[in-house]
Formats: sequence, structure tokens, C-alpha cells
Amino acid sequence: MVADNDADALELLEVDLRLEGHDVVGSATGGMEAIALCEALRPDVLVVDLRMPPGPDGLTVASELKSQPDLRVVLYTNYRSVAVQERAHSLGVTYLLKGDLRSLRAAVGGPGGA
Amino acid sequence: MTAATVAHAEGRGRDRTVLGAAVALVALTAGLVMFTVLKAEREGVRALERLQQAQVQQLSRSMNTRVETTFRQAGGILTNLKLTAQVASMSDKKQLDEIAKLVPDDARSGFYVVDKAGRLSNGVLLRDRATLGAPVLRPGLAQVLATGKPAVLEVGPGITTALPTIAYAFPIISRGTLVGGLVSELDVSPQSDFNTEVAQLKTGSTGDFTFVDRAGVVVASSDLGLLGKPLTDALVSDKRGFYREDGRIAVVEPVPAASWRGVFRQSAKEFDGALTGPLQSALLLIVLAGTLAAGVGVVFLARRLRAAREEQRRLQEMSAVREEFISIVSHEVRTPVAGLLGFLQTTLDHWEGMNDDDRRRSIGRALSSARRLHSLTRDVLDTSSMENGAMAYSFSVQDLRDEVSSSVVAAQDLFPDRVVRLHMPDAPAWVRCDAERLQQVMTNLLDNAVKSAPASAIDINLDSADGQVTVAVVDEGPGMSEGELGRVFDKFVRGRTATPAGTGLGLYICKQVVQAHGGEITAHSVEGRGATVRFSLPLVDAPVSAAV
Repeated sequence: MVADNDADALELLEVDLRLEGHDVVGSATGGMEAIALCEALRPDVLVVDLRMPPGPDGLTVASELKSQPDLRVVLYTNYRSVAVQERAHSLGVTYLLKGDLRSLRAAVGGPGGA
Repeated sequence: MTAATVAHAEGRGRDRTVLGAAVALVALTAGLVMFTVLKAEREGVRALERLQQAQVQQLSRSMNTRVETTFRQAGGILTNLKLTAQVASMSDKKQLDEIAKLVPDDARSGFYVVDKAGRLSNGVLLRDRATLGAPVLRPGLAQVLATGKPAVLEVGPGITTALPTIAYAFPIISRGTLVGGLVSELDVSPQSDFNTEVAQLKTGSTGDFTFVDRAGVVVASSDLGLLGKPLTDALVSDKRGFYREDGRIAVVEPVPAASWRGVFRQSAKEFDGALTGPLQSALLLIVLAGTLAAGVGVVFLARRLRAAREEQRRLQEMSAVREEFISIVSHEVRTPVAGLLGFLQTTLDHWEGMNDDDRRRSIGRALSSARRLHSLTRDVLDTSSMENGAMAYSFSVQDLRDEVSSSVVAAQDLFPDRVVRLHMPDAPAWVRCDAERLQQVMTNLLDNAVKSAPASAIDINLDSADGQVTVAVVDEGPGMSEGELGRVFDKFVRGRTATPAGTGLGLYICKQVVQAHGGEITAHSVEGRGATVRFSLPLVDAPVSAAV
């Protein structure tokens, strides 16, 4: 499951993860949509952008989805920030900077569905 | 509270302390000035009293000298005329006539001769010759005849005039023997020469100079109503001195030769006013000038402090804007870089797993990211050039319709699913422009419209009128609030898009470019009902090549 407010970024995630053998069950362009889809589709992994105005940001989405202990959240963002990194860590969220698909692929893990 | 706000508040506290100290210093100085001026005023009044006393003294002394001189001169004349007792018995009319010549034709009073018993012997300008032979009952005359010394007689009825008179009484001594006396009367009236002189001594509106005789009757005065009347004033003592009581002052100085006193009287207010008036005006001026100077100083200081504080705040703001700009730009750069890298990487890594369409689409996305990066880089570099005044333009005469339509075509390529309608007249619209820069303006405006009004058709209207060509880019998106409209052409102000993208430089650059072309750019919007950005450029003549 992928969420990003930037259409190009969202498409890149969908294309690459699919080609990596993942089953991209859903894609969202905002925080509220991401929460709703995760609750409906129960994915294994959520790759989410940090800032997705005007709705909630990626970390808020992650904390809202605390009730899904099996869900792994990967925060995939352009924001290089220690504060964000620490908040992500405290929520058990993997923090990755956009740019290198290999580290994203590694974080999402082997084929199995995202 | 941010650190900057705390520093600002501390700065304000310090400013207040400095201002308080400045005000206290001004108040202290004002107090000192007041004290000094009041002290000077007291000393000044004392000096004024001494001065007035000296003046009265001088007047009285000069009067005294005149009386003494008259005594001496009259004594000489009487001796030279060799007046005898026979004169007193009226046998020598010839000699009397000689003396009468000394009396001017327009004299208002005359003189008379008494024998040694004080009986009226003869006279000039006698009012009633029937009194000849009768004793003259004038206080002081008997003493002159007894002592042989001249005197000024007190005010009394005249024999040579109906007016009250004072009189000089001289003894007539013949061969060492007193044979009689000569009494010269002077009328006590406003018209007398003597009084005309004294009248000039009037000072201000309440200051009067007066001579009173031994009995306290006014002999001469600048207050004409007092003439011939007793001066009853508790303030006027017999002794010389300066007196001040009940809002009045008096200066008394004796004239011993005439047994008179010279008296100056004035209201204390006017007397002190001679000094304190100017002094108070001066004080008022000093206080006013001081207050003004202090006020200006304090205001100046306050402004300086405020300006310094303002400057500090501005610098902090500028630094905040700069930081935000760096953060925006770095984010805006990373997004297309991530897209560019990502699409290229995924294409390369999954070349075999992708069909041609997938690969084409993926590379197309990489290209659009690269374009985004290019336009972003150009915006930042352009802004930098504009701020340094180093923006270069290459002007030529072009038909604006061509530039507008080619940018619309480009936009249509970029956003094929959007409706973009172009409305233009058939006639060319020649403008002197840098075609590439105008394309940039159009691209920015179209890009803004596409992003900010996602569901709306976009209309581009080109019209020529009154030597101007106007291009309007109209969308039916959410529009802008008044606050947003006011800042829309400022740097780093990011627009109305729900998902803010861009550096906030686009419209800033548009404005700079349009202005460099001698044109104007404006934005109009009603919130919720779309937005219109309109720019106009001056029309020019068709180029020679096109006119054929």
C-alpha cells in the first residue's frame, strides 16, 4: 500500500514495487485516504510520504494505525530532519529519504505484498 | 515564545529603561533651570529696587541742586539791583520795572515784595492791588525775614495768580541790613513748566513721580489729579527708602533745600513686571524650547531605539524567510531529483520485466521530473539575477499571439487532459519583447492555473486596445482571499494550490519580466470563484519585414 500526494512519486512507488514482485493493493494521495484504505485492505506494508497537505502527515497516519500491529510502516520522504527521524523511530516506523529505490526495496522486504 | 520574541521583549525592556532615564534627566535639567531662573528673578528684583531708588535719588538731588542754584542766582540778582527799603515803600518804581523785565510776557504768575514786617509793598501781576500794605500770611515767609535765608514756601493761595502756588522767598539785604523780601510765585497746575517736566516721569500705567512739600501737599506730580492736594499714603514715609506693601511699592528721597520729598509709587506687579515680565517670557521660552528640545530628543531617541529594534526584527524575519526558502528549495529540488533517479533506476533495474509502453512511460516520467528540475533551477537563478540587476533581455519585435499560442500548445502537451481555450483577435499584436522570457511568463501563469484549479477549464484571452495588448489567464478554481491577492507577486509566497508546490518564485519572476517590458501585471479573484491574472504590454509598430 503506497501513499503520496505527488502523482509522479506515487506512480514511481506503484511501478517499482509491483515490478519488484509486490502486490500493491492500494494507493492514496492523502493521509485520510491512506488510513481508510489501510483499515479496509489490511496491507502488510505501508509506504507513506511525510507531508501530504491538507490532511494528516505520514507520521500521524502511522500513529493512527497503531491498532494494526502487523502493519510495517515505511516513511519515504524528502524531509531530512532529526526530529522526524526520532518521531518515526518512537513509532516503530522506518525512516527513509527519497532518492534511492534500493533502500526502499530492502525496507519493504521480499515479495509478499505491500 | 521563540528566542527571537524573548530577545525582542528584552530589547523593549531595555529601551524603556533608557527612555525613562532620558525623561528623568530632562526633568532634572528643567528643575535646575527653573531654580536658577527663579533665583535670578529674586536677585533681579532686588537690583531693580536699588536701581529705582537710585533714580529717585538722582531726580531729588537734581531738584535740590536746582533749588540751591535758584537761591544763589536770585541772591546775586537782588544784590546787583541794589534793592533798598525804599523799594519796599514803593518809591522806586523804576527798579521794580527792571525786575519785572525778568518776568516773561506769558508768565502765569508773578512776584511781589514785602517789607521787613512782611507787608505787601509791591509786585508784578498782582491780582488785587487793594491788598497793598496788608501783611502777607504765608507760612515760612516770616522765617525768611527773620533768618535772612531763602526758602521754598509750602503750597498756598497765590497773590499773583488764582491758582495754588509754591513760592521762592528771598531776603532783600541792603548794606548788610535786611530790608524786606521778594516772593516769586509758581503756580501748582498741570500747565506749569515745572509740572510738565515732572509729568514726563510717569512710568508704565501705574508708576507716578511726585514732589510733596513739608506739609505733605503735592507740589508737582505725573499724576495730575494729585496736584495741590495732600498726599495721604501710609506707604509714603518721611524717611528715604524703598517701601513695599499690599502689592504696591514706594521710593522716598528728600529734597532738603526745598524741604520736599521726591516720591515714586507704582503697583508692585508692574514694577516687578519690568523685570519679571521679560524674565518670565525668557523663562517661558526656555521652558518651551527645553520641553521641545527634550521632547524632540526623547522622540528621536525612542524612534532610534524603535528603528534599531525594527531593524533587528526585520533581519530576523529575513533570516527566517531565507531559511524557509532554503528548506522549500531543497525540498523542491529533492522531489524531481527523486523522481528522475527513481524512474531511471526502476526502468534500468526492471528493463526485462517492462514492456515498451511501460519503459516509455517511465522514461517520460523521468523526463518530466528533469523538466521540473530545470524550471526550478531556472527560477532560482533568474531570481538571483533579478535581485542583482543582472537579468539580461534580448528584445525584438514579435507578434504576441505567436508567443501565447506556442505556450498554450506546450501546456496542452504537458497536461493533455486539461481544457485550455485560447481567444485571440485576427490582427497581429506587435510588442517589443524577449520572446523566451514572455514564454516563461506564459508557462508560469498556465502552470499556476493548471495546479491551482484542478477541475477547471482555463481561458486565455488576448485583446488589443488603446496601444496596449492584454493577456488574461482565467481559471474557475478556488480563487484567492484578499490577503493572498495582496502578496501574490511577492517572493517565496506560495499560492492557492491545495498541495503547495513550487518555490513561490513564479509570479515574482513574471512581474519582474513584465515590468522589464514596460508592462503591468495584476491579479484579480473572488474567493471560491476563480482567479484571473492579467498582464499588458505596450503595442509597437509592425516590423518592416512584416509590413510587406
